[in-house]
This record gives sequence, structure tokens and C-alpha cells, in this order.
Amino acid sequence: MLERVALHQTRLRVPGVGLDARGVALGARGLVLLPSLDRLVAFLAIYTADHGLDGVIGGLKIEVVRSKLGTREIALSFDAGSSDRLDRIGEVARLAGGFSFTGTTRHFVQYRDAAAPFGYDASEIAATDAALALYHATFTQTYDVEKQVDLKALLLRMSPNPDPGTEALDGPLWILAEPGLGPSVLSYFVRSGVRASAAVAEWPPATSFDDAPVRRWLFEVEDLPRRTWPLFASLPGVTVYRPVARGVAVEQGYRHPVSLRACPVFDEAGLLFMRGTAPPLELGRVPVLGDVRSLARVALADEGSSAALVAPGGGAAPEIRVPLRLLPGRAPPSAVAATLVPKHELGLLRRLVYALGADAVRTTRFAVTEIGAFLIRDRGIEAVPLGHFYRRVHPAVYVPSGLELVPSVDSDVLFSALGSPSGKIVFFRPDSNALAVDEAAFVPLENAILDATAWAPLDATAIEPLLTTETPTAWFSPLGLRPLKGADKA
Amino acid sequence: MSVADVHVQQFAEDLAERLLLPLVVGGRLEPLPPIGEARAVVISEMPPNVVGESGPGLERARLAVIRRLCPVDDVMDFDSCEWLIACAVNDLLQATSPFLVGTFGKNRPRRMVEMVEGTLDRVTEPKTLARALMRHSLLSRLLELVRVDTEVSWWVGSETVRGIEPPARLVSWPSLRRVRTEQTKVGLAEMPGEQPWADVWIRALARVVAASPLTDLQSLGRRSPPFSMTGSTLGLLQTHAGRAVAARAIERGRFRGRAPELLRQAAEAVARVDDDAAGVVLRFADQVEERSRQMEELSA
Repeated sequence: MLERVALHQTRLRVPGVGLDARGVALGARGLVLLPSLDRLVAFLAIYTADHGLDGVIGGLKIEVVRSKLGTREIALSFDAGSSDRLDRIGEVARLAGGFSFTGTTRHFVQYRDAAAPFGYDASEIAATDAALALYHATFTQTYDVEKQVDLKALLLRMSPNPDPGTEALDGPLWILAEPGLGPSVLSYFVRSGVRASAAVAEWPPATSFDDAPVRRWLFEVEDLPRRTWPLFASLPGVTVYRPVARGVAVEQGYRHPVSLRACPVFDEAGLLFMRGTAPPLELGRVPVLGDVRSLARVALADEGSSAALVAPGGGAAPEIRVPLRLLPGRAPPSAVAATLVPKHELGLLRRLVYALGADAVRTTRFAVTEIGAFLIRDRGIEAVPLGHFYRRVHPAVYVPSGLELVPSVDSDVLFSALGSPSGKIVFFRPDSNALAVDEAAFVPLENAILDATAWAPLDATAIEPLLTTETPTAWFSPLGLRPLKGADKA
Repeated sequence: MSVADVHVQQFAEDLAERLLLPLVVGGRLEPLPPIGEARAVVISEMPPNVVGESGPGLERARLAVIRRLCPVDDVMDFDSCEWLIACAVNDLLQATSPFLVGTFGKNRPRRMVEMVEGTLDRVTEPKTLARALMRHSLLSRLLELVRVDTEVSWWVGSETVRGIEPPARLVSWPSLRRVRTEQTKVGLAEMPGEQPWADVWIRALARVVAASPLTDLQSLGRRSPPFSMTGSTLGLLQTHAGRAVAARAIERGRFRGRAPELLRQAAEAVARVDDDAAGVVLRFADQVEERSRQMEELSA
């Protein structure tokens, strides 16, 4: 039998239960007794819809308990924290068909409800060695713990439900592609200008009869263009996952019953793919991802099961790299923005600067190296008819005029392939070798050409300010014996 | 040139050197002995030109003051009203002189102020914007004028002298008598102190300031004498050029931030008498505010 706790009551019989600041009977822990696992799932689904488990995850225990009658039930216990939190959990428990209790170690008494605003106290404490003794208004029961249930394992066992409301493929996405489709998808992303990163992920073989690990291409896409949504939603071998929390993604078109964002049980360094109709896929750590533009050449390779492109934590992609070459181009020279003036022509350059216009002198940058002087002018270097001309293909990459780089790759790809050198300007030589000049070495030509001119000091005459800042100050002089002499009214 | 002319000319040179030039460029200002209403009228009837040593300096300084407000190449000669104003300023200062009262002259400051009032009765409003600028060139720094009061204390007493150097008898044997001197600057409006004639003195000062509408508007946030719209000020604001110059004077003054608010308060007072005139002031307040906003945008 339970007794209602009265206002201003000070002592309670249930061990480990006291009164909080509001006078509510409260122990150190709360407990929710649920009749089955599906009720537990319902409880978690309802609770996590609006609240996170961050506050209770530390002391959260889910146990399958067995009564003396042999019935099995689920006991979910946690740090009570405050009566506010327990009120909220109690409401959710009622909705999920469970009972809420409070206590500290073994004896738990029914938590307060509308009939007893300050909670309950047991009139008699059961003498028992059982792991749990629950006192409820309708029963008093003892339980032994049969087994523990891990929350993460429970969440992984739950199958996501089909959810037509999540068909849109907007926002960040993860895409898993079978090995045969990966290069094609990668090529498609490069052609379509989709900003994405790619990696090859590996999982252990499903059975010991398989001698090779399971490999899939993994793409992280920032924003998939709308025109491609139907393709990726229906392409066999390609599965789209939507990240729902750090380290977890759910297959597109499905929704996990529990709000995974509220469950901080997943490793943030890893990645878990919750599949709709298959067991989840888990990566212990996210493989190192590379920009798809840097991997564009993979699209040229024949698909092979032992692909060996770099994919940390994954397999390898085939080697298809080719060296850059410079070949004579048929296009007329354009965008000539730099020149290399050899050492023996520097004297000519000195004489030429007298003839250069002011704009050319001001906007031309200049760096001297051991092979000569490089001059750069963004608006064209035609004003300096000296040296070997260079064409700008990238803000930091110059190619000899009249020559073209093959293969014809995008300038950004070329810059990436050069290692994206920071603070360097790369000049290709006609023999395809490249030279990098420190960008800081380039100074405006006007600073470099002018020799110091002797000057003679000439003093200027100081100009006295007309209106001094001195304050006008009145000083009086003696006025004699008749100060008003001569001062009369008219 | 008659003998009287010579005296007037000499008097004008002295007034320019000792009062007007320091009043415009700053520095030591020593007013002439009391002039009185009668002599001021004589001077104004035959207004002399300042041609002595201080003449060119005074002319350049006035030109510099005017050029802050509008581009001009020359200043006009003093007219009769400007000489009257100069005499009034001289006598207003002399009314606060410690040498004026003497043993039996307790009533002399009040008589001086009455004569100043009589002199100012003959001053008319400036007829043109040029004359308003000329008056402003004389009085633009009038309210900056200060008097130095010196408190001399020694081991058994202390004494304060106003506007003069402490007499030798007070500062002799400084170490033996443990003499200490402390100087205090007293603003123009505080010069009469708590004297019984202080209110009439302040009223006369207000009339002097009001005689120069640009000076009046430039110092519209002063505490004493308080600003109020007068006929000359309203007359200035009636013309487009007058409003433009007045707006510049306010922009270059100390109260440009509060000017729109102060002008609107003045407009409320004017509205009790004349709604049209109040409208002119309100439009001018909007103009000043708009110019201030534009200047801030430009500076930003």
C-alpha cells in the first residue's frame, strides 16, 4: 500500500527517497517500467522527439527484469536530476504504457501523479534481496535483472520506417556507390560541377568464404542539383543517405523511429549508415575524403575490382596518371601577362622603362631571379617587348605563350595537381619543367627601377597662424580718481 | 582734419589696438577708460578708419573670420553701428573693473550699464548680409573672453584681485610670509558675479550679442545670456544666402550637435508671437539637421 505524501511532511519510509525543494518525493534515480521492448521503442521515440538524452545518458541503464512470477519487463533507469525532468519522463512513460518510479538503489516508489502531487511513500518496506523492489499504488513487486540492453545496439536493431516525406535530396548528403558505379558517379559529379568529396570505404568480408573486403565508393555531397534528384533516387547500386546526427546517416526515403540526433551514443569520428531494408553499415572512422575534381582522372580508368586510388581506410585505385606536357598550340597568343627577361637583356629593360607609360610602370610587378627577371602585368605585358612571353592559365600558373598544356585539364585541377603551392607563382618552361617564384619577391616595377636621387635641404619659412588659439583675456588698468570723467549720457 | 577729428582718430586707433584686435585674434585685452554714450555717439557720427599699426592686422584677422563662412576678398570699413558696438563692449567690460567703484562710486557700474543701454539703443539691425558678416568678424570670440582673478593667500590672510596683477604689497617677501597665488579664469557672463546690477549687465550683454546675428546663432547653446530669436536673427534667416551662411556658422560652432534641437525650442517660443516666423526657424532647423547628416555621411 502507498500513502500520499502530505504537504510539509518531512520523513519518508522508502530508503533513498527524500523531498526536494518543492516538497516532491524524489530519489537520486528515476525508473520507468515498460511491459515490452516495443513499448521501450515507443518511449524513446516520443521522448527524443522533443528532448535530447544528453542529460540522462551518463547514468542510463536499460535492463530486462524478471519478476517472481516469471514475467519479463523492461526497466529503464536514469539519474533523476530534478522533479521537472522526472515529470516530463513520467508523462512520456504514461503515454508509452509504462510506470514511473523514483528511488536510489533498490527500492523504488511510484512517482507523483495527479492524485498525489507530492508523490507517494510506501507504508511497508519489503524485506528482499531482489535487485529491484517496486512499490506502486496497484502492486508491489520485486524483480531480478536478467540482462542489460545496450542503447546503441538497440538503436541499430530498429529498422527505419519508410517515409515518403523525405524524398527531397537537398542539403548535405552521403552517397554510397557500388565499386562499378563509383568512377562513373565521380565523373558525373565533375562534369556537372557538383561540389563533392570522394573516398573508397571498406568493410570486412561478410563471410569467411569471401577473400576480399567489401568496397564501396563513398561521396560526401554538399548540395545535389535538383535535376539530378530522380537519377540518384532511382539508380540501382547507388544509395543516398541523409546525415541525421554527427556520425549517423539514414537512407533516403526512410526515417529512424528514434530521433538519433537526441542520442549521443555514436562515435563522431566514425560513420553509421542506417539502411532501410538491410542491416546498418558502420565505418569505424570516416576515410580521408578527396575533392572529386582532384580525382577526375579516375573517370578515365577501366573499372576494376582492385581499384587502387588513395582512400584511407579503404582500398586502392588504378594508377592512370600521365605527366604534363607542353605542345605547340594552334590558337593565337592571348592573355600574355608575364615575360621572362634573360640576364643579358636586363640592360635593354633598363633603357626601356624610360619609354613605359605611367600606368604600365605602376601596374607591372617585377622579380629578379638567377635566370633573369620575371615581369607580370595582369592587364597584359605587351608594353615590354622583351624576353619570353608567358600566358596566364591560373592566377598562380603561367605557361609559355604559343604552347599548350596537355592533357587539357581545368586550371584549378592543374593548380591542385601542382600541390596548390601557397604564396608561389609557377612558370612552366618550354621543356615542361616548372619553376616556382615566391610571390612576395614580386614588387611593383616603379619601386624597383628608380635609383636614389641626391637632394639638398631647403628650409621653408614658417607661416604664423593669423588667428591664434590664445584666449582673449581682459586686464584692467587704474582709472584715476574720476573714472567716469567724460563719460556722459548723450 | 579738425582737432576733434584727430582726437576721434586717435581714439579709434587706441580702441582697435587695445580692445578690437585682441578680441578678434586673442591675447591680452585692455579696455579703454569708460567712453560713455555721448562720446560713442560722436564717434559714430564721423566713423573713422583704423589706419594705424593695428589696422592691417585687424583687417586680416577679420577677413580670416569671415572666410570661414564665405569666400570674400575684402572687409568693409567700420560703420557707425560697429563703432557703437565696440564702445558698448568697452564700457560693459569697464563696468566690471575693480578700479571703477572706488570709495564713493558704488553706483558707478549701474550708471555705466545704463549708458551702454543708451549706446545700444542707437544700434540698428544689420541691413545686409555683408554687414552681418562684418559684425560677426568683430564679435565672433566675444563669449570666449575671460578675466583672470588671482587669489593671493599668506600666513594670516588672503585677498582676491580681479582682472589685475596682484599688487606688490601682497606678494612681497613670499617665502617669509608663505605667499601662495592661485589664478582662476572667469568667463564673460560671470564677470559681474553677485553684484546687484548683474542682471542689467547680463541684459546689456545679451543685446550686444544679439546685435550680431551670426555670433548669436553660432553660440546658441550658451548658458548665459540664454539664446532667443531676435529681429536681426529672424531677418538673417529670411534670405537664402543668410540661411546658408548661418548654417555654416553653426556647423563651425561648438553647438552643432544640439543645434537642431535648440532651434526647434526657439521656434516654439517664436510661435507664441508669430507662426510664420516660427515656420522659418523650423525649416532652418531641418536644413541644419540635413547638412549635419550629409557631413556625417561624407566623413564616414
